[in-house]
Amino acid sequence: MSTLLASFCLMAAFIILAPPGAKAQIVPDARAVVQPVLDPLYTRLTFDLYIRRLTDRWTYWANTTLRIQSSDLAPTGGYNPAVHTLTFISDSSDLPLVPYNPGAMNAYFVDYQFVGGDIVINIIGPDSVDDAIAVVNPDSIRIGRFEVASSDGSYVPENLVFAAPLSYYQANAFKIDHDSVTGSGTDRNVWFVKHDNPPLETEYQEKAPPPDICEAEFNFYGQYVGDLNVMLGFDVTDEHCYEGFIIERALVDRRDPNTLDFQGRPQLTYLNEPRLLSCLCLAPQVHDSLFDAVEFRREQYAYRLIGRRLPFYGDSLEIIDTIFIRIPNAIISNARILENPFRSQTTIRFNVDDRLRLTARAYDLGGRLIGTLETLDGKPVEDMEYVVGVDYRIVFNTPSIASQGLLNIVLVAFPINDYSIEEQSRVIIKAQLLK
Amino acid sequence: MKLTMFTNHRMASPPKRSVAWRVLLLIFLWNLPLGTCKAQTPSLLQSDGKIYNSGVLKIRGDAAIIQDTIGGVVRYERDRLADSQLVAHLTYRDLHFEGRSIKKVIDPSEPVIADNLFWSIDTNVVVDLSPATFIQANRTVVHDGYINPGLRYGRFVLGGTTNQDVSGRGTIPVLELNNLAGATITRSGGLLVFERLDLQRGLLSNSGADNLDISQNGWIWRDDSGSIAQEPKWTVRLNLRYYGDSLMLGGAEMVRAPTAIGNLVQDDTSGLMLPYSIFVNDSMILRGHIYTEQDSARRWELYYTNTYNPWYDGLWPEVIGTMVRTNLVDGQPMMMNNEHATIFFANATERGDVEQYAVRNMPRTIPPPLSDITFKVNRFLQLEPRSAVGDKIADSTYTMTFGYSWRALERLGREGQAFNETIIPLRGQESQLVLMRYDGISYNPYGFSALPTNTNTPSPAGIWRYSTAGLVRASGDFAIGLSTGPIWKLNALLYLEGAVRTYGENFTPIMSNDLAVAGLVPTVAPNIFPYSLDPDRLVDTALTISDSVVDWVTVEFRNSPTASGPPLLIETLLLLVDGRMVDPQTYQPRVISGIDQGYYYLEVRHRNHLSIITEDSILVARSEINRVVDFTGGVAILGGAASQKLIGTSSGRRWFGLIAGEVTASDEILRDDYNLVWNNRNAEGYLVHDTNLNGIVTTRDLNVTWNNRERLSVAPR
Repeated sequence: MSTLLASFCLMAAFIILAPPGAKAQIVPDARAVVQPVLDPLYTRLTFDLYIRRLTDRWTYWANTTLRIQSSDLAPTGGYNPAVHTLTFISDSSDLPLVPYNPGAMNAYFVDYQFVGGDIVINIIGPDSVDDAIAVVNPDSIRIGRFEVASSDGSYVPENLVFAAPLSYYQANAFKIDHDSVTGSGTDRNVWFVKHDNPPLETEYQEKAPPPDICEAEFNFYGQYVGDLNVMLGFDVTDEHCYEGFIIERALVDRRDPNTLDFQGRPQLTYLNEPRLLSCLCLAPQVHDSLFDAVEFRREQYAYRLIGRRLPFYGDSLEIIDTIFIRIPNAIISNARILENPFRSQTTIRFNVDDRLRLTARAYDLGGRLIGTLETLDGKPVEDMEYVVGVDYRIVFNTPSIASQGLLNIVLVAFPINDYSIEEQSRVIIKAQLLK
Repeated sequence: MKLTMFTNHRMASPPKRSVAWRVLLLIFLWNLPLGTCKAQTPSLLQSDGKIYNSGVLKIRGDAAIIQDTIGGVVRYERDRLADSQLVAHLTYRDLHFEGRSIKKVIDPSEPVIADNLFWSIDTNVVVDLSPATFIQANRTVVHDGYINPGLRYGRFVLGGTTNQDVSGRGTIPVLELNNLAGATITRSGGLLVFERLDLQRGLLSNSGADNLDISQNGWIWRDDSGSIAQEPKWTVRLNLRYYGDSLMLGGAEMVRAPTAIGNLVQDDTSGLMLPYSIFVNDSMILRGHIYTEQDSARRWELYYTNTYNPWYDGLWPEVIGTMVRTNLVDGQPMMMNNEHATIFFANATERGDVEQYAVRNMPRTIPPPLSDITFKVNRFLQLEPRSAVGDKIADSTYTMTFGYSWRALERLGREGQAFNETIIPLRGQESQLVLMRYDGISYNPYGFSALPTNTNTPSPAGIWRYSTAGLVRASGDFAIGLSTGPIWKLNALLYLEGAVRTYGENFTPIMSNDLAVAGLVPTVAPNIFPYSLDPDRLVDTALTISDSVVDWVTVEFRNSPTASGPPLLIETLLLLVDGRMVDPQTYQPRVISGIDQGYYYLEVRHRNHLSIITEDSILVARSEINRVVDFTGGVAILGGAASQKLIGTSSGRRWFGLIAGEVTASDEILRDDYNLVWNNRNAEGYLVHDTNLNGIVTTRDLNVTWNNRERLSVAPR
């Protein structure tokens, strides 16, 4: 009971002793903060609004009017609704939000608009203190995040200030959860009753925009994916400083591998490939599945990732990373016979380095065709297409006509869509047939 | 024997000096026998040429000289009593008159001018000066002769450009001073001015030892550029005339002796200011004003002793200040400060001990005190009956009729400034204005004023309004006003919750002037509730909105605290930051008129605050003009303190204001009010939704409405 009375008196004292005209003697009970956040788009401004509780003299927050100006644009009229748009980022507020209901309000509604070149945020709160948000001291609530974007590509400055005079443009109130009374008996004075919205003595703080630095980390990678194609890609932690990316290629000269003559690849520049455009954002991004066709097998290619800095960040080309990719020289590799000697069946295991069409046959030493190998499901490996892979297995089932002795199992592969039809891969495996 | 000397010097070049001397010699020779022989016919000096003279030219006959000027000394010295001597009209250097023959100055074509010295040597010299011409002396005057003895004409002009010394004991009918450098009476003076001394330009320096005499009933005329240093010698009576066109301060010519001044003619259209109190004994003619008060410390009185009325010639003239009639005549109106200001005692009984009557008449003056509320013309009157020795006569010991008047038509005339003393609220009601007397609290109708008032009929008709008030039995401060005019002065204090910025304990009773500072308060209350209820809303236009203004409010005068219906009177007023409600034109407490004195309930309204009405009726009467109606105490309001909002406490008292937040003119603060404020958020201007009256709608205004939700007014509409 005494605590309640003390709280009562404390609140009343606040109400009574908080005349706006005597600010020098008053400890502010709340602080409104506007905090620009780093926005990679120079045509857009993002900022957060906070209400911070500073004293124990209030708990429940009621409503506010916050009018904010761009200190750079204000002298020339501020924001122009014909050019600028103001957006409230949904789910960015700590407040429970509902649409405005003229009949009754049980949560908060955020209204935001340009007024006279300024940003004006009005928030109307619930009718009942029971629905009001409690603010822990000394914590803050984020009213929300807002974006101002220009539609004509013009720069949107980041420095924001609360419009002055503060007592004219700004308003902030809490919701009282008990009657505010002083005195007793004939001296009893009721100043506010429960659910009222007394004004909050508020200070206003404008925070500077965060530093804008380019510290992206890249992971550039690539691999040969067959058909003389190389698949490239890179991961980046923050590409807001870049307009886009370019990947150049150089054929590594074996005789002078340190000298790389990089050439641009038309399909590997952000000018032609949208996937190489920067998201202009702060979130990590993945740019993958970028393909490049090479001309030569058995060669090594170097790929170089270049970032194009935005004008705001230097308007330059930045070499980010270089990787080397070797183009395999055989299309069938690591061919092994698993049972040798064998009697009725043996298995051939092989890897396919490139997409191909394969014919696998067995011959005796006289060159006579003994049989055609089959896939594990019994299909003859006769001009059969294989994609790049490893541990392919085909079997040779010994025909009855075959006699004991050495056999040559011949795997003949032709690359598919190869630039050079003559390119082929032949593997001959000696197999010992036992009867 | 007639001797004529012809000179023939019509040559282009001047004659040789020897020739001139020969001419002079001839003149001398030809005239020489005249002084010794008995021939009575004067000789004639007729010169068609030019006489150069640096010596003495003695002329004993008539002179006819056509040249404009002549140097040296020219002496007219014919000395036969029966003869006359014709004086040539030209500019002399030194002009001497001597001898007994009458010196005839009669040529109307030009004056006789003595540029250096005019000397009439002794009392033998008699000058016959025609009224068609004059003698002018530009420097020294020694006059011991007579000019037109026994006649009232004959001008002698002191017309030089340097200060002139004047001496001699001769007589001059009309002496005119027209010399900005002035003239000085010297050598014991003694010059007698027979008809008038005309002080046109310059100062006539005289003293007790060196003075001139004004003959009995002689005049002193003064233009606004002329003056006299000391009181002249005078005999029995002296008459004064003033003329010119700029305001003139009377001087030494206004002889202080009570019997000295006979007639006073005031022809200066811009007015004559008395330097001290004077008496006028015979007549008074005014063609311009006479002011008797130079300032508040120098208030003089004009005593008029004659029983005949003064003559106010023209429409305007009057005595501005105090005029005293010292010889009262019973049974006839006696004209006072202007032709329509009169006093009338029917008989000696009604006059009682009154032997003199003084009227202080102050046109274009608001009758004091300024705090008085009655509608009065801008003319202040003070009436005072006096005994023979000037003591004030007690009230109620006499009965008289007083003729009051005021200027009621603005017309530019000789005064140079047009004005109308009828204040705007009285215009159109001039016929109903009565004499009023200040009783220490307020002006009230006094005596029986004859209505309707009269207006003068000569063109321009209506410049004066006048009437008489009978049964005047008291002295004091009087005015002319409307008997049915203002009845009360609304001294009221009010606070608006919305305009209070500092509230709580240790309350400072002051409201915000944000709207006025921002220039948002209109000079006419807008045509919205509650101002639209006032049929005279447009009349209550503020000339300016000062920074002390909070907003417009209305005060309604009602017969009942609960009955609905139109009030008897609505006043639209400006509320100031200190809580005073004032007239928008004067910024003073509103003077109430248009209703009868009586008891009224006062209701206060504002465009976005809840109305209140007094719980008890208030006496609205002139006797209550100092009463202050305090709406800030939360008491004596219908519904009690609950009808208002507690806005602060200080020094043991509570302060209340009208409850803010009612924007729908519904006398109740509902959800609609709340929604309307929200829907008008961010708007700036003079808006009903701006519940805290700072010029912009924010959630601060929303909270004002919210915190007063479901409050209502019990005041009637």
